[in-house]
Amino acid sequence: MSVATTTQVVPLDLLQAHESGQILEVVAPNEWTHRLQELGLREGVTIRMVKTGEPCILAIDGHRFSYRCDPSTMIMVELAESIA
Amino acid sequence: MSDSVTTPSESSRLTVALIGNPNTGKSTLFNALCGGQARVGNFPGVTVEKKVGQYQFKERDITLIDLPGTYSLSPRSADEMVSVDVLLGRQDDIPKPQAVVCIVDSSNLERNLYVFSQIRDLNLPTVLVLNMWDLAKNRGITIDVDELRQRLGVTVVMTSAHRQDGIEAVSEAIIQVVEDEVTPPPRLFPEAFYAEVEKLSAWLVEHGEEPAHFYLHERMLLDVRGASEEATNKENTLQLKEYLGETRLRLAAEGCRIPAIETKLRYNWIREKLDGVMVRPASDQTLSTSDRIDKIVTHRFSGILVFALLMFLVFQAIYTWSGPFMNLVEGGQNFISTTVEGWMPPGTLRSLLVDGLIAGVGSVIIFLPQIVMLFAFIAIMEDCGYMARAAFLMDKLMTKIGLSGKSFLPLMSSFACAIPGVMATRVIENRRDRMVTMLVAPLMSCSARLPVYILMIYTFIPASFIFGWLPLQGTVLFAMYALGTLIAIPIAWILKKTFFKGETPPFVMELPPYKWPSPRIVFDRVYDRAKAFVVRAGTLIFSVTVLVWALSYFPSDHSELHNLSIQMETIEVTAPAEQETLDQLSDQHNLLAGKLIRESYLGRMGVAIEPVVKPLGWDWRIGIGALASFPAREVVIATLGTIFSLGGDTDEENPGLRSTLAAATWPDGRPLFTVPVALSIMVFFALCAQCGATLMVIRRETNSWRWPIFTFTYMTVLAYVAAFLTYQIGTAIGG
Repeated sequence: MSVATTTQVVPLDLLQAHESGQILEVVAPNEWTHRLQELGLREGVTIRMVKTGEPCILAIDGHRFSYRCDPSTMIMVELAESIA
Repeated sequence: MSDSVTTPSESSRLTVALIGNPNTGKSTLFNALCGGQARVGNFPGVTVEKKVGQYQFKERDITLIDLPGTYSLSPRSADEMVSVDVLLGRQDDIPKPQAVVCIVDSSNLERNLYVFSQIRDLNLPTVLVLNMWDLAKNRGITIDVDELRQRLGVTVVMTSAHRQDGIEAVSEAIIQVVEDEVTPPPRLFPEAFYAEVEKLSAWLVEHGEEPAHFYLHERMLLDVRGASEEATNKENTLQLKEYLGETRLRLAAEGCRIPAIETKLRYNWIREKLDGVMVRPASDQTLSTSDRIDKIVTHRFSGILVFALLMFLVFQAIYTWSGPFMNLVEGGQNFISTTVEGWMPPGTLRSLLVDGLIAGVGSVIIFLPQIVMLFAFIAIMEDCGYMARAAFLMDKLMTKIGLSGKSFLPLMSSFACAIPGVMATRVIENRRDRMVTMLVAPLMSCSARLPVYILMIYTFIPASFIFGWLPLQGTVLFAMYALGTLIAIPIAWILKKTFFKGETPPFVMELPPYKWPSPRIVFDRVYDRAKAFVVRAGTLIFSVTVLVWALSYFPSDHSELHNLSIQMETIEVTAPAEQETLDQLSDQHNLLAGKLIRESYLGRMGVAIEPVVKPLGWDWRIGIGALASFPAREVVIATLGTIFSLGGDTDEENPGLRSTLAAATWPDGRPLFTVPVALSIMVFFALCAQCGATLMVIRRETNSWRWPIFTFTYMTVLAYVAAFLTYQIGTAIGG
């Protein structure tokens, strides 16, 4: 019997190294959402945590970004089904 | 039709704009097309670099405008507005482009096409350049270019600009695309949106605004508090804001939420266009070479170690490697002085040439080797991708004083020169962070301070070793560099707590993959900077030097001094008696020269300011030097060169400035320069704001006189107090 997988939604900064997931929602002040989305941090994009920390390094489509969130910004990520 | 009759030269002339995301190889393509022939300047009123190149292709004269790298064409500031203005032909000094070349990274199409989709809305003939084609192929990415061409409705060209592949095809495409009919831009937004934009256009005309491009009105609606929201007529601004607010609410009610709607629609459009056209290998899990380097370079401990080692290497290299070059320049300068002295009899003109120009300008040019090396190091670190990692590492430290890693690059480039440093603060979106960075950037020890440090260290700091292994001279140099940086920390912290309070914004920065630095780009940057330095020496420093010379030459009567010089130069030393006469004459000459310069205009001014600079251990000549160097720090060297050369302190055997300074004395015969005096001069110059150009840039960037005046005041007070403490404590310990 396969174990039923429940999708898990976590804030981006809680991702472990090498975990990846899909961005569900970007919650931030208006001007910031627009900037972040233009930079590629937007709904539906698959991201991977390369290096955790403050700031962390993320992989988006093979490109690397450093990212540090602030208290007013929250990026919610739906974790990809982890391969045990 | 009369307007179709144009002269052949006019019709063969083409203006083309080049735009794209950062890190897509835009500069490389620009250089490949124009062969490095570019005029670089600034767009009027803003700090955006204007880079215009010219080249010929198939008997067409093509003018290529390199627009700043950008992720989007949604102008939020006057700087970002420039690109839009150029593309729409609203920039007065540039003709409206007949075509746009949009360059994208083939391996990152999805994201790079965002700005492309905005450019399509401008309805201009467009060439899409898929650059780094070879790298995309190596990564296993395949793109069906023919299908993409069909779907996007524009000409698509593949290039690998760094290998000069496909460059000609870009030019071919440009001259073809201006002939073709433009496919109308896709209508991505709901009809309700377009209807509102049209209503807005009508509203604006009704209120007396000039009719403008549809795209500008689209942006007015889409960019909340954006740059296009500013109405041309001041009295409309408030009303317009209100109107836009209401419109956005109306649109939101219809499910068209601004600004979220734009990114959503554009990325959906991109995904749709790329679906089935681009295939990338599934596994993104493997570590790239860049990731492996990053493991070390961005590591908490090893990263800092690599960074510290690199910085140490840079300073040591600048200090040790440039020695031979400096001697070369100094030799040349002495040769020219001697030659001129051989040609001309002593007199006012010879004094102007030798004491004024050669001693003044020459003593600045001598520092060209260091400046070239410093800029080369910075250009290499930037081009290979290391700078972004350094910014990443420094983010942790920067957040402690309320800034972000984004402030690192501007501060780092300020070590070369505060002017590009202040301009580089544009990458910081947060206004408060940007202001603080700008105001502390001049504290970083720029290359104009280097001549002062080198001169003082070489001449007065003993070449001994601390603990028997650490070179003292290099350490003092390092300490001077560290001083400004260390002082900047509390200053930034205070500014952030007082004038610029606010939260630290989220920090997103691309880390481009590592690559070998392009010799071309490094060379271009170094060449530009070296040229600017030489030009400055030839113009600004030249004029100040002439002024200083005139002030220190007149109104005294120099005929007696010239007679002495003639006598000295005619004596042929064959016997000890003649040598004695020469020495006597020489002493007489120097005494008279010293008297004359004290009686000159400059001497009188100097006496007036001496009480102010005396607590720093300086005499009036150093004081005048510091005062005259207000336009630019390195002027102090030229001024000292002129004052001391005229004052007769010159060592006849070795007319270089170093030995001149070493021989300089107070009127009572005590040596003028001691180690505490040298240190106090260095500390003063490390912290002062003696740079007219930097202050002007700050004024331009902040659009107010308040901040340059603030910068000048706080830095001068800081410099004076620190120099005072250095001298007093130094003397107390030394004595």
